[in-house]
Amino acid sequence: MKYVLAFLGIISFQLSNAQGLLPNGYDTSKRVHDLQLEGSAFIGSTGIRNEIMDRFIFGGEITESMKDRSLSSKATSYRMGAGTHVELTYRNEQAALFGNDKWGYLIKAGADYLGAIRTNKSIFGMLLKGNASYLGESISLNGTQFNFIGFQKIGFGLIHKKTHANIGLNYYNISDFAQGKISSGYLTNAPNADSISLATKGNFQYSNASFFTKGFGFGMDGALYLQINEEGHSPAILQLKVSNLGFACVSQKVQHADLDIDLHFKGFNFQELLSDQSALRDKDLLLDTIGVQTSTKTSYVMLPALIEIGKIVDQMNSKRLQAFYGVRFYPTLANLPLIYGGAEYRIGKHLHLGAHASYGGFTQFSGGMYLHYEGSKFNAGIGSENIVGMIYQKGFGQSVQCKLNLRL
Amino acid sequence: MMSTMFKYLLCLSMVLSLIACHKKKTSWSSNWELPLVLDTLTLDKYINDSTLAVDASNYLEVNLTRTLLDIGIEDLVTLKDTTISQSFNIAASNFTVAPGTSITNQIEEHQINVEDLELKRIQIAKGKIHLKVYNPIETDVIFTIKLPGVKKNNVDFEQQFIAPMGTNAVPGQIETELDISDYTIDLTGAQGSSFNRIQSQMIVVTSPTGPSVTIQNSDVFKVDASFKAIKINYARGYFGQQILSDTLIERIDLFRKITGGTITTPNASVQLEVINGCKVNAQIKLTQIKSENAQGTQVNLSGGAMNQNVPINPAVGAWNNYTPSTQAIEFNSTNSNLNAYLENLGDAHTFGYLFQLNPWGNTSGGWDEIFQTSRIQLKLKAQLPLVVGVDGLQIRDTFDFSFQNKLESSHIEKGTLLIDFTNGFPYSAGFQLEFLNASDQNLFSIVSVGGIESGLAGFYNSTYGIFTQNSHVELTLTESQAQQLGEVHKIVVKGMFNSPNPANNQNQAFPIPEKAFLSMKAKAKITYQTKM
Repeated sequence: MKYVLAFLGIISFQLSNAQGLLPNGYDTSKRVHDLQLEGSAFIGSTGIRNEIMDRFIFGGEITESMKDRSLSSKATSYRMGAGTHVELTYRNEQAALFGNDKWGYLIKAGADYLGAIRTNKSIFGMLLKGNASYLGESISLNGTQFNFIGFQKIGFGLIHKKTHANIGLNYYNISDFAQGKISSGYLTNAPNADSISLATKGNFQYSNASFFTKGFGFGMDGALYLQINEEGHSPAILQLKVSNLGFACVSQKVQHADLDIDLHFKGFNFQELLSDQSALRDKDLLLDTIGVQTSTKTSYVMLPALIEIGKIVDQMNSKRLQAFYGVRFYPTLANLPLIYGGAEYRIGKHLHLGAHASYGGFTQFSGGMYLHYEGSKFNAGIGSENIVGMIYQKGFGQSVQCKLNLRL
Repeated sequence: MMSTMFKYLLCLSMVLSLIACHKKKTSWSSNWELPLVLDTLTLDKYINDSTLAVDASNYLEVNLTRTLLDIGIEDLVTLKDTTISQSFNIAASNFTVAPGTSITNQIEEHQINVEDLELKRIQIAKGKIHLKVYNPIETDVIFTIKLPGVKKNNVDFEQQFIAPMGTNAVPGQIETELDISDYTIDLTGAQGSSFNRIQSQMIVVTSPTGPSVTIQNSDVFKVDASFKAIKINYARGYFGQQILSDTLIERIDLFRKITGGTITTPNASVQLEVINGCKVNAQIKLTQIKSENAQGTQVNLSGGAMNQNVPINPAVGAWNNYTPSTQAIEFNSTNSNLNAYLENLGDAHTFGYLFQLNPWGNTSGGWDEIFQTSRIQLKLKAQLPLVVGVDGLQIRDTFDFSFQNKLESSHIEKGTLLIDFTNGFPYSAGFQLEFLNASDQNLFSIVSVGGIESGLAGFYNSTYGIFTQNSHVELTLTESQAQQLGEVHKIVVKGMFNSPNPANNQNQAFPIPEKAFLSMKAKAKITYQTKM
C-alpha cells in the first residue's frame, strides 16, 4: 500500500509536465476486480508561451526576449490554467451490493491541484517587465480573477452493472485555497512616474494556516452512458460525466480582504515618513487608509467541478476507426468551455492510436495524440492534449496524461 | 511474462522521469519607477509660535520666547495635613447632670505648621475637614463645633453632632468629612495680631430627652478636626526668605547633528526677563548659562548681569487688578560674549539660577500677598534678524535600517533615487549616505550627483516673491551595493551646507525670506529581481 501511496504522491507533485484526460473508452465487459490509476497534468494559456510557463513550473530565468515573445501575442485577454490530477479507483461489478444484483460498487481516492488566472496583457506585462514600460498608460484591472485549490478525496459509489453508469459521493480534504476577483479597477502610471493612481473594487481570500487540513467538503462524481442508434450507422456511445460537483467549507485562518481603493499616490510627506504615529508603521491602519478591509472568517466555495459531455470510443466496436468529440469545462474557474473532436485508429489487436483537436479551456487551438494498449488483464495509455506545446517552447500550453488499468 | 515485465518497465520509466525533474527558482527582472516623497519644507509652523516672526521687509526674524521658570502660590505656600484637637473634662468626680445640661463652651487656639512662613490669612481653593467627636458618658450628647475665623460668605464654620452614649473606656463616637473649599481662614488668632493661629470652639450639652448621668473627672469629651489635601489660592502674611535654585538643561536636537562648520550671527542679542506677579520683594542671580555642542566644546556666557543679584520689585494692585513687575536682563555682543556663545552651536544649554523671596526681610509688615493667578516667571527672549551665514556646516543624522535583500530570494538588483528640488533658502547643500553594518562599520557610501543650489543662484520667482533655484540630485545604488543591503543596520545621512554669495561664491550671512521654502520630489528607479 505504501508503494501505491508513494507513487500517487510522486505523480501528483512531480507530474507537473503532464495533465489532461485521455478520451474515455466505453468497455462493456464486466469488471470483477478492476484497479485503475490515472494521472494527468496540464498547463494552458492564451497568451503566455510555454517557455515562460515552463520557468514558472520547473524554474529558470525568464529573459527579456521570452517576455517580449509572450507579450507580442495578439490576445488581449490572458487566461492561464494549470492542474495536476491523480486518482486510484477500485471497481467491482461482480458483487451484489445490498443484495441487489444490478449494482456493483467502486471505491476511489485521489488528489487534485487546480489553478486558473484570467487577466489581460498589460497586467501580465507589468508584472514581468515592471511599470517602467507602462508609464503614461492606464491599465484596466476589470475582470481579473484567480482561483487555486488543492484537495484530496476519498469516495464510494455505485455502478449500474448493465450500463456501467456510476455515481459516487466523496469526502474532500481542502489542503490549499486562494481566490480573488477584481470587479472593476484601473491602475494608472503618470508619464514621468510622478504619481500612481489605483481605483479598484474586489476581494481576495486565502488560507494561511500552516496545517495540512484547511477545510472539508462533500461532492459527487458520476458518469452516464447513452447508446444512440442511428440507422445505417453503428451505435454511438454518449457519455455525460461529472467530477467534483459539490461544496467545501474552508474554515482555517481564511483571510478575507475587501478592496475599495481610490488612491492617487504622489509620494509620502515627511510627516508620514518620520512620525512614529504614521500609518506606514501600522499595517492594519495602512490597509484601512487605502481602502482595504481585512477579516478572518470561513469561506464556503464550490469545488472545481468538471463537466464533460461527448461521444466516446466504443472499445467493443469492431471498427478500426472511430470518431470522438465533445465539450467539457470547469464552471467555477476562469476558462472557456473546451470543444474537442478526434479519431481513434486501432493498430493490430491491442494498440490504439488517437488524435484530436480542441479549442477553448485555458488556451485556444491545440492538437493532441494518445497511444493506448488494451490487453485482457492490463491496459495502459499515455498521451497529450497539446502535442505541439510538448515539443515547441513557443507554444501555448502543455499536457501529459497516463492511465494504468489492471483487471485482477 | 512479457506483459508483467512491460508493466514494471512502464511504471519504472514513469517514476524515473518524474524524479528527474529538479525545480529551480523562477526568476525575472523588472524595472519600476515609483514616486517616493513629495513635500515642501517651510518655516511657517515656527512663525508666530514664539520662535520666528516676520519683519517689515518680509524677512524672518527670531522672536523666541522660552519659559525657564514658572512658579505660583502652590510652590510658595503649602499647608500640610493638620489635625487640631480640643478636649474637656470636669474637675470633680461623681457629678450628676440632668438632661439638657451644658457641660462646656470653650474656645481654643491652635498653631498650624507652615514652617518659616507667617500667614495671616489664607483662602482655601480646595480641601476637606474631617471631624470626629468622642462622648464618654452614658447618655447622648450634643456637640457643637465652631471654627471662629473660618468663614464662607461671612459665616463661621459650624457643625453640630449628636454623639451616641458611651463609656469612659469605650466612648461613643461619630465622625464626618466636610468640604471646606472657598473658605477663608483668619490666622491672626483671638487677638487679631498673631499669625499661623486657628481657633476652635466646642459646646457640649447632654441630651434633653436622655437620663441623668454621673460624670467622673476622668471622662474626656473630645473633638478632632483634620484639614486634608488643602490647596490655597490666596495667602497674606510674610512668606519668609525662601530660596529657589535649580539648574535646567534645554536641548536643541537639531544642533546635536552638527558635526562641523561655522555660522555667523551678526547683531545678536537675547534677554532674560523676570516677571513677578506676587506682592513680595525678590531677587534673582543667574549662576550659569553654558552652551555645549556635539563635539563637547563648552562656552560659558559671561559679562552682562551674570552672577549678580538682580532685585525684583513686587507686583502692585489688588487681586483683581494687580500688575506684575518685570525685570529684563539683556545680553548682547557689547556687554557679553553672546556671539561666541551662539556660534558654538550648542545642542545643550544649561541655565542655573538662584531666586530668593524677601532678601531684605519682612519689610512689608506681614502684608506680602500671593493671588491665585500670581506667577513668578523667568523667560528667555530673543528678538533678532534671522541672518545666518554657514560655511561648510555639516549635519549628520542616523536612521535605523532593516531590509532583506537576499540574492536567493526576490531582491532589488540596483536602483537610483532621483530628487528634484526647488530651493528658496539662501543656502546650498550636498549629500552623502553611509551604510553601516551591525558593528557600525561603513559598508559603502553613496555621494549625491549634483546638489541643492542656493535659491539666490536662481531666478526671481514672482509667485512667491523670492529667488528660487531648481536642482536635480541623483543617488545611485549599484548592483554590488544592493547585494550588501541586507547587512545594513544604519544609514547615516550627511549634509554639508554653505551660504554662497552668487556674485563671488564666498559664504556670507543672508537674511531668510518669509516665503522661503524647499520643495522636494523624489522618485525611485528600481530594477527588481523576482524569485519564486
